[in-house]
Amino acid sequence: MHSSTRCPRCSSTRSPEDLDRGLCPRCLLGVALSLPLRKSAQPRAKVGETQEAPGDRVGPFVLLEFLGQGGMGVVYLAEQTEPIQRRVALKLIKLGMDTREVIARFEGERRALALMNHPHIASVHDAGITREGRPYFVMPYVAGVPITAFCDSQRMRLSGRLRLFMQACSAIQHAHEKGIIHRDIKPSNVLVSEVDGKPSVTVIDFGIAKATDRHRAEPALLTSEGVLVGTPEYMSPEQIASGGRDVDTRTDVYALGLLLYEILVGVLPFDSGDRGRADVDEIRRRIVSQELPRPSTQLSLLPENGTESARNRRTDPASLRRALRGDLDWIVMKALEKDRARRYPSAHELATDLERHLRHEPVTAGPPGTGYRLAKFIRRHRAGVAFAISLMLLFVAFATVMGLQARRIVRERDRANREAEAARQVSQFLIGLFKVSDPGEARGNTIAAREILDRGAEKIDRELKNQPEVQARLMSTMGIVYENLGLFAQAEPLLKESLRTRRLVLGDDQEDTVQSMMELGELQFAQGRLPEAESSFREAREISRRALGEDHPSTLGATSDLAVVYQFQGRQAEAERLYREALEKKVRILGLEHPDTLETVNNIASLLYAQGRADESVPFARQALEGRRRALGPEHPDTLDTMINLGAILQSTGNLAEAETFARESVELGRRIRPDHPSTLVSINNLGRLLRKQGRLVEAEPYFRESVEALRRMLGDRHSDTLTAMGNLGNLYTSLKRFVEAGAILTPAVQAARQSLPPGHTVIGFTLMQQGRLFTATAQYRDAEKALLEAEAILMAAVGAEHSFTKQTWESLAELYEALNNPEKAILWRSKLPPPDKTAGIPSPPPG
Amino acid sequence: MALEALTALCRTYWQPIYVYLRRRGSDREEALDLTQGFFTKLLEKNYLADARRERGRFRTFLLTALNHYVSNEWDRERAQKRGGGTPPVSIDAPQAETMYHHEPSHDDTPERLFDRRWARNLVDAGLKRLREETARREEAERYERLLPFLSGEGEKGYRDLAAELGVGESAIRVAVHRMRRRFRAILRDEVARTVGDRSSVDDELRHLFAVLGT
Repeated sequence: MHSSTRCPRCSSTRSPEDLDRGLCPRCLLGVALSLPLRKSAQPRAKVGETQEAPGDRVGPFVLLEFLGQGGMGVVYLAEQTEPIQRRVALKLIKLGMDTREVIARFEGERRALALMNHPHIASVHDAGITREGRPYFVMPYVAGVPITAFCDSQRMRLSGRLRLFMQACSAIQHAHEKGIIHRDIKPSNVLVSEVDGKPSVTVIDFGIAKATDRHRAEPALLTSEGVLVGTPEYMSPEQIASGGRDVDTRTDVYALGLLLYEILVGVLPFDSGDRGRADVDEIRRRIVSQELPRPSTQLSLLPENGTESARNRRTDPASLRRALRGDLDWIVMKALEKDRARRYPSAHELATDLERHLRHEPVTAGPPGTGYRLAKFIRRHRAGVAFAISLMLLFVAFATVMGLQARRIVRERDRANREAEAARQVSQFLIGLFKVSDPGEARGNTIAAREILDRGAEKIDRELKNQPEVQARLMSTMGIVYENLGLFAQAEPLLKESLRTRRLVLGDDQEDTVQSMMELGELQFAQGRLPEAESSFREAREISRRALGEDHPSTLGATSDLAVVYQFQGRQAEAERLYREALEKKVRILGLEHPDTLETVNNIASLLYAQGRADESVPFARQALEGRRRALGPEHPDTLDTMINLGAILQSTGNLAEAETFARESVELGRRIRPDHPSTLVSINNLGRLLRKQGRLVEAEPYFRESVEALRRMLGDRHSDTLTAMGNLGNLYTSLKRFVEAGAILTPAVQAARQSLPPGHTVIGFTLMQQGRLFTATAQYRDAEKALLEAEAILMAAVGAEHSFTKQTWESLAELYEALNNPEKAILWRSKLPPPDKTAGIPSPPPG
Repeated sequence: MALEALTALCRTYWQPIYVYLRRRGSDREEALDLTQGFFTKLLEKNYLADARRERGRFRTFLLTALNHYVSNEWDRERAQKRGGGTPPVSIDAPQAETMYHHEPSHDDTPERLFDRRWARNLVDAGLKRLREETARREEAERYERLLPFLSGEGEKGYRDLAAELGVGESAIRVAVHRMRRRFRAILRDEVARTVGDRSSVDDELRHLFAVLGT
């Protein structure tokens, strides 16, 4: 074939056609990658002033090329001819920005850089002032490429990438030790160039860096458009929440975590399929309130399972996923904790953990606790506290999706109901107040709650200016209504404003002010912003105790709410202490039979159960049930929820007979008073599982079938929860050796899962696993092996080694190889399973 | 994506399709046949709607659609020859074959070959636009002289060129700089047409940069 040559510059292979032209296509592409974007165009000069341009002289330097600009400076590539010839990066204060304050800050950056002396930080060579009096300083020019682009272009393996990243950590650590926070760490500020033939990192652009020892409150750094300085994707939750004011070294740790994420996976955690539409506000929302996918999970969500990312790391997707799973997932997620107290305390600690990983030593980061993870996807509405917790309880008890799914249905159903109810209430309320029902604009009943609210909010603002107390009360009301409708963004300013007004007009020590604080805390809780919710409740509790007294209902309410936050944060001991404190007072002040008291009793039962202390939990659950039966009546929904809980708790204590009694009673009652309600579905499912656990498969079958039918009705044929229930039913048929029926339900389940769920979805893995078991049972071993191995890969990536689905898959693989007379492989899979006694006492799903 | 725009894209990017098919084992006839047929199908059928729905890159979309098309086509055992109608994209068969043999690395997978050819076509399209722009401004001659410096090579040549054209060295420097800036804008624009949104431009560029590096 044709001989080929290499480009002398980038050493890529060139084809004859490139030679004809004398240009290397790769180097040409590099032009588009390496030059700065025009978007942030050069600053426009004011009238009468001249703008510097390439070719101009600044001191002993000649400007060559515009490289980029930051908040206050413009950076040029420049050349020095005397006394030595060299290329430098010259940063010049922007025209029109040379106010005293900016000059001071510019000076600050220069001094900050001058303080630092580190091989991976571009330090200051020189500084001066132009003839027009504009200060500038000069740094070595780093002809580097962003670290992410460098790693990909060299197709670096993970270990090499980690080593490079650790250089960046050491640079940032050095800055921190000098009291400087970078605040804008991102790939384009972490450049890699070759030094003595080895890749070397240089951290640049301390342009928005801040001295840590400056105590005075500094205004947020805003650009002229009022946009926060920093790159939205790389901002930390606290940077967003505080408008850039509240940052410390851990803010840089967070940004390093994101950088590491991108270096490892190839994309940021916010990059999902809909990336095109994720605007700045959306990204901010995700940063503050959304749980980020682990690197290994994100990889499996990429097109072709991340084939491209894997190729750039000289491996295949499955191996890359395996390499990320465990240590690296945990290290990255620890650096990315939303609560900075949970992050690595310093860049050095982060690098040290990576070093441990590279040396195969145990790392300090670990998987987040169950309670903590649960907290992140449970959203709550005040009236729904007990309910949410009882569902969490079921979720924990059965470690399947049933609890989760029920919660989602609750949310959707409640939302629909609440919307209608809110529309009614708010319209009446506002009609009375403002006479909104002007015949000209009224549209009868079709007017949406949302619209009324929006108009009401406007009116409150406009018409009640002189009655701040009324205004505050209305804003609170409307804020709560917005919150109930799930419109958190609209709720927040109203609740905040209400709190502000009340503090101003009434003072801190009034019940209404405390109430406002708690409302804000509840909103934060509903959004999963636990640290903020915690501080709101804590403050409300402190003030209420001091101003209103230890026994005041507000104090009790705040104490209970704080306990719930602790429980969701996984701080079980603190939660328990507060629950018990609240309980003691509620019993004394409200009496044992008061619904609030009983709610706390029920919550304590849930807490104990979630900790695996089922035996201790039983008396509380019994007491809650008896109390609610008496106080609320035997057919009240809360009573029924407690009964479902008690059934689940008793089951895990081994008291199966009594568990069955309660389970049957709750199914019966539920079918009567709230058919198609998620709780009823949960109780039906529980009863089925209870029977299956005892090997009473024939009896269990109708309940499993009923679950599938109900879910089909409520959510449709292709919903992941329906498909999960189908998997369960199919598996039951397999166990009953009713193979034809098993196939008739599992084949369409797998097919529908593949068609309607994204690749790598847990439920695809789950249904495949059940199908694999059927294949094993019917001696179709090749198909079984294929299905089970695929299931295992999917589940490991999606939910990890601790999840019961994964463990069941290992068990199934072991059974398959045993059936195939391949004891080595069987032992291999079986060895992954925990020894049976280790799980005793912790509720686990019944085997197949 | 408007039909017109899509047609234009197909004109620019038929070569990757051809080399891909050749590497997958089609002979010249078949590769031409399939390339032509694929574009006909793509432009007339509702693949178009898919292209719009698909937010991802046009490059990956095209490859997926192609595989889909080819497997369907082979299922039908290519029983009937296509006929009638003017093909939407005219393919220069000898050129295609020359270009295929110019591919430097012969142990590449078809996908990699596709990507690599794609990157080259992108650069070519960019150079073509750059040339057209300068031609309009009657600067064509200068363009040809400056072109060798476009990728940042050969700065030592500035002095010679400056002497030859009778201008200062810094004037050359600035002109090269402007040309590079314009070229970068053109390339980014070209890429933006093939990815769902502007924010993916860098990713795509990085990918293609990496592909050419092997």
